[in-house]
Amino acid sequence: MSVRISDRRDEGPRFIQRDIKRHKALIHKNLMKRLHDLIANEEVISSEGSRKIRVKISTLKEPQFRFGHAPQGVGEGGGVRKGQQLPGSQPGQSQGNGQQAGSEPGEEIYEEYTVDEIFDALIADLNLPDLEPKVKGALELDRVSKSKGTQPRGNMSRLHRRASAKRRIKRRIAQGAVSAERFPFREEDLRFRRRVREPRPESNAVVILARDVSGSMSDEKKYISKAMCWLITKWVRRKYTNVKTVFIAHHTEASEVSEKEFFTRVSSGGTAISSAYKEAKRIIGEKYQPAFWDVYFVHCSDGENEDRDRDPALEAAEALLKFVKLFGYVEIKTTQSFIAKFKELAAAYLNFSAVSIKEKNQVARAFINMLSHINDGAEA
Amino acid sequence: MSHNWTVEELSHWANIVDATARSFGLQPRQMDFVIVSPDRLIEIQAYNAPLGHAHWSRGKTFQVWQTMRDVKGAGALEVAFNADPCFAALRPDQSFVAQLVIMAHTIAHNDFFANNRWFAKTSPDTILNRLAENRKLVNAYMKRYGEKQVEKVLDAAHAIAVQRPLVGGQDRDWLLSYIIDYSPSLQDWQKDLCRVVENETDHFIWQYETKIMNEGWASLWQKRIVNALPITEEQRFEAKDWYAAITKRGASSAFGEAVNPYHLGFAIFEDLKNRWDAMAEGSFISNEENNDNDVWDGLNGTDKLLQVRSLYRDRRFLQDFLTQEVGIQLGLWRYGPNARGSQMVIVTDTMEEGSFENIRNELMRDCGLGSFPSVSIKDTNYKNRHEWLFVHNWDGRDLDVSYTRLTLMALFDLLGPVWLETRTRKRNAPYFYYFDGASFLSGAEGSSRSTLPR
Repeated sequence: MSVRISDRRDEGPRFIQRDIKRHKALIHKNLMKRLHDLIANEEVISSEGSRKIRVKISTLKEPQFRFGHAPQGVGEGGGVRKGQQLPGSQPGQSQGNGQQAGSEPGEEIYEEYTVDEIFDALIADLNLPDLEPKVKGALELDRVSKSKGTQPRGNMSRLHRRASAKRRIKRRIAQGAVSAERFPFREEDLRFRRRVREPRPESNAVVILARDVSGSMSDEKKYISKAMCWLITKWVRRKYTNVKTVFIAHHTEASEVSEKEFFTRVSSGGTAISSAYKEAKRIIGEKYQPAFWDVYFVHCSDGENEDRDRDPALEAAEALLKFVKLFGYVEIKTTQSFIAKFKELAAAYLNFSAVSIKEKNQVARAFINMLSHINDGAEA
Repeated sequence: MSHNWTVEELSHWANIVDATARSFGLQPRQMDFVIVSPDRLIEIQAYNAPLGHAHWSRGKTFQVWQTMRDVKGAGALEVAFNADPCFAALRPDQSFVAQLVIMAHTIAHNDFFANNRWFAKTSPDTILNRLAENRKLVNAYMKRYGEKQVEKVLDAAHAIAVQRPLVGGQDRDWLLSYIIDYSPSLQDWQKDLCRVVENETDHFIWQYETKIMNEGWASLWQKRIVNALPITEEQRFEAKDWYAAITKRGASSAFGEAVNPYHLGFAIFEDLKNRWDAMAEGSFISNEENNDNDVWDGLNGTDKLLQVRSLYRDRRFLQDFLTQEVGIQLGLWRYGPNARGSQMVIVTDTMEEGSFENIRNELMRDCGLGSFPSVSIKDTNYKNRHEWLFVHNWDGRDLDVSYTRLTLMALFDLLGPVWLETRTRKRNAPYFYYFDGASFLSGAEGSSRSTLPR
């Protein structure tokens, strides 16, 4: 009897593919639960849709009776003393006890998802309003060209060779010159592809993002507003063929700024949020008339507003509400909330929605709440 | 990693390793090593065998190990499987000396499978055929009844496969068998699937029950065998590192430092050998106060080792041979919640007067199938509702509620509404969980706060 060794290192796995596929399908649901953390991830919100993100994801738990967090057990290794806290332990955190049969290698794996897949998962489950973009037939900025038939004149680059050759052969047969050695093309044989320009049904949306730049803006606050802007813009882009973004920075005065400036600008002094709403209304009137554009307005603020601006702010907000499809008011890590003051507006206008965010990982939830709210409104 | 051996060389040395093992008295079966690709190795780990029936949990295990390998560089050096001939997968990326140590380690596992009396209950000669047949059957049923329907049955069967006494016990303690025999609603194909799981569990369960011994055994013999091989001093030096590295592996616990079966088993076996060798030489007088197992039976160290590996499994092994000296050498300690319950702290260590017995008892309770909650069937017509009541035989360790919920949900798919009776550390009275297909309810019997059906 001798020991045998065979060399099969060139063979990959043989049976497991189906089981991996099933597990992946099952944990896809877990992705949903992780979404809120994912959206709170810089890598996700600053990436192209096709970019792949490696995501740490919990595996599915197998049904099994198990002991809860180890209340007691035996450990090994010198250098410990009585009463010492167990290294790396939190009560209720651990699973299994010292002697778990079979080795448990951990319950987390890495999966790759594209940013689009993550976003899809976020909005898939949520019964969000299916935006029906207005078809803006009147604004035919962008037309599509299609080839349709042939024409006798045209640019040589659009020469239709087969049609031209056919015409030459027809002429030759008509002339009875079947056996002639040379029978050159004439200009009259040539046929060109005809291009017709058709108006494309166009749907236009503008996302107007406003942000309070007064006072301190911690990285986290900045991050939250960035994530919120990313979400709303990405969502609108799903529905419209033509989406523009406008950035408004404000303190006591408001002005349109570049995207970069929007997220970096800081100024000291007071705050009058009415300025942002007035500026938004001005821009809409100037460039984005609601007859041609659906307007989405989102305002990120920390809730601070000068007392004397209270009524002007409400008036300006109400004025703006008549022009926009969504008016989202996002309050971030607030110390003095303004949300309550919007109460009447919120009751009167279904397109108004206010949310409050305290932590990074609440962004996705807030976004969903904001949209669900206008959805409920649409159905009511 | 490049390696410094050819398959022919390895084959030559594998036979020398095998012959050396036999010269010490080991009696392994015919050994078949297969050098496999990294992914195939993980596949074998996922099925715990060269093949197995389809189930998502295998895909999960595969992905988890793959992640461990790719992220942390961790992974098995070999997978030995109890079959006749004995099957073991080796990695292609290990050095010559590492392979020698791993082969010696594996041949010791092979010897353990072949000679430990508990493994006599398995049928290693037919296991590969049975696994293949089971796989075919599950695939056929998936085609016929749908993947999800089959998965439901397998989920439930896997969930309770280890809830069984190893010998004896009442009918109602054999959960899976009892369900197969007495569930009025199970169809034949569903029973077949339960039998697949039962049949495979019969084969694997002894590995749980002998984990400490089997790993200790392999760790001990890899050292003795390789030390006896005609290799160079340099290779001997490298081998030493491998003994330590392999024996250090396997510490897998939430607490990082909890007991490692390789290390524990190794230390006990080594101590056992030393004591019996000393007694054989007459230099060690058995102490009257020690228990009967320390009375010299005329065997020398190696013969004692061989006897113990044939007759014991972990619980008894710990009871008879884990001495306080070994406990101190390993630095065993007990942990538990502090007085406020806010932190896990070290409660006692082996040096402390009288604490060793507690430590050993706790290890014995937690080892093998003791790491799983014991559950039996109490009633199949509970409250005259034709519903099944399971009972968790509480021993001081509470159930994890989220896993309990998942398990009752899985059992519902086989049995309809199910009950579970348990206890908790907080209240020393029966406490019930119930799943009726829609909601998961819980409460104490008769409690006003209970949401359970009356």
